[in-house]
Amino acid sequence: MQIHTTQDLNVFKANYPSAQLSHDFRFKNQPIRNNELQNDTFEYNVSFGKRIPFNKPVGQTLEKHVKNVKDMLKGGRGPVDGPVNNFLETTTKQEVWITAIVSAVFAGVLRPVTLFAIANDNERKDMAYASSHAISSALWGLIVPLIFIKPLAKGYNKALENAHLHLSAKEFKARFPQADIENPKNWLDGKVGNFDEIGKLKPIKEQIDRHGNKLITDIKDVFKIPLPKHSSEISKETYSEYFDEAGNIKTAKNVYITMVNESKAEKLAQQRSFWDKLLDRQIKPKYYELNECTDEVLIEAFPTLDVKTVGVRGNRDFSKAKSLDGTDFKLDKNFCYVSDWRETDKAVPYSTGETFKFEKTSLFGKKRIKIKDVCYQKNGAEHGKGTPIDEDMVVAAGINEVHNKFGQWLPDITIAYPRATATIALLPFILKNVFHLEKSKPAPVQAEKAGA
Amino acid sequence: MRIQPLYLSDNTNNNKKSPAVQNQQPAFGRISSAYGEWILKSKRIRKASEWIYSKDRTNATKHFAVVGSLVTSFAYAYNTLKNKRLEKKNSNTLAINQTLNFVVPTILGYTLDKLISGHTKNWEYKFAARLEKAIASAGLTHEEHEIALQRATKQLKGVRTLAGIATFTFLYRYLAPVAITKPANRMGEWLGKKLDAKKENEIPEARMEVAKA
Repeated sequence: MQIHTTQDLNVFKANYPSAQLSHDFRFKNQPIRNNELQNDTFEYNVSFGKRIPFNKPVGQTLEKHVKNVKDMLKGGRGPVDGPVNNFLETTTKQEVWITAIVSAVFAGVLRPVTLFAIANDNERKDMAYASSHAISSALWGLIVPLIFIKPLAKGYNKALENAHLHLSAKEFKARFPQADIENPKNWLDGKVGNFDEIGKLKPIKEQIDRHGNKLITDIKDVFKIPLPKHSSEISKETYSEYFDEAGNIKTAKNVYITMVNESKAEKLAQQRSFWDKLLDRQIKPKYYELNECTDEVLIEAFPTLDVKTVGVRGNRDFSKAKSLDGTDFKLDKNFCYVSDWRETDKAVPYSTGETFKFEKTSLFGKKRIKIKDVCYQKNGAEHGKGTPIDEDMVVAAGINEVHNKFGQWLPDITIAYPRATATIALLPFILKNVFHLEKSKPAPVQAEKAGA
Repeated sequence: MRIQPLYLSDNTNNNKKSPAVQNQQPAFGRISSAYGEWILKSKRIRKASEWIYSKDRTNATKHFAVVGSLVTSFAYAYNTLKNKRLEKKNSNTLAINQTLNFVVPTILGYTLDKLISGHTKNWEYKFAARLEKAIASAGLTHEEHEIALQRATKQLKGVRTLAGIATFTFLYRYLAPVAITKPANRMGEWLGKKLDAKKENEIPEARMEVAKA
């Protein structure tokens, strides 16, 4: 495999855990640490493959994996149940209510504690008044959303779930570009009707999208895979499932490669934002499944491979692979990664090398074109890789998100002024007459001398 | 492979009332349904959403929180300055306090939100991985898997939304009131002294004019 790099590959043939490479741009002025040599993808995602021989099991065994999952499912809870899960779900459905709760914690609990902590003896009375004002405004901030805003937001959420009843087919398509309104199977009476008529489409749960998969309107939760681990870092059980004794892969499914050549790495580096550079955020490597990756990815990774000899996309077989000059091509296991939940607790979005251009606009109007990987929804076979998420879906989903936030926040912004006025009028009155707390008045100024 | 018995609640389908019963919703229920339909179908709201998205493609929760705080702070400052029961210098001090309690945390909020956006993404990925692993390993039936995926989507969205809410709320409702109060009071005292000095100069001039008359 020809690697497009300036690094001297011969150094990696022997195991040099502490060698310092003068022309290695990653390790400028730094000694190589043991774990970095083992970590064979680095800043510009160039994979050299590991030369350290495979000889010991790493990662979770099946027993440990089962135990980990049992810990996650404690107390008979389902995988998506739990107090944190429910809180996050409520955050999406009731943003203003959750904001009120968080405000109540900061204003009603933390602020009084801090005020008392920083007050000196002379300011105790004023701080007591300020603290009680903070607590009462926090409580008032809970009452108003509970009575007025929460039910309205619930009404909007219900309308959104039944969007097919309130929107025409044209509006439905504008909201969800992946919907297939020209398919008679998505219409209540089985016939494609007038696109401007409201309430003629089937419920969202029964519709199919333009790729023939079940329609999923939310694109946030993309199809992800367990973070692929290098073939020398996986456990023996997992290794035996994917590799034979000679070190050849048994199947191209779930086996990944990671690579990008230098010119692409330079482009990626240029596309990093100001904050990424400032905070020195590393570019994370991308993994491409051998079975589903595009021919371009394979050609870029293995320039000597004759792509026609490994089968078509989705049905690849490397056992009879040939090089361009007709000789047998052996896929070195050192370039292979395996994705399995028994080996990791991390996940990455699934990628096949397909990309689309995405125009990103900053707050001050600066435009930048980003190359984004196509992600997939989870509406394929057995909730696997399904509909590809294109730019029109991403843009529509972004606009839908803002529209949904209008539904949540508009009542809050509308009543903000009367709520603030009521706070100013009611709170001092309640504090004075109910809790007998009043702000201390300044000492009377001495009378001016007569004739001054 | 089912690891253990599951309890999955689908919070989205709790309303199993018949249409006849649903039509007998209380008045406020009908108002909220009508509100929801109006917002969903509104073309103006849609255009406003497109405009906001064209300007900023990150999580828009923070912008709405800022607008809400702007209206609230304006209401406080305006009513304070209008209040005739307060002395001028006290009302000025309060109004400065209330204005600074909006401006400073807003600037800090946008900056902090940008700085922690990478960390927020990491938390989201970690949480997503945990959910993925749990769902994949729980041995769910097809229907349970569907429900789990729907709920997982909402929970994932909640991570970034909560990060935005927590950042701005921390600044508006805790840090700013605690940290800005003292500097705002000093600014108000300085302004008050200037006003007093101005009054003292005006009083002798007024008396001289009366004496001349």
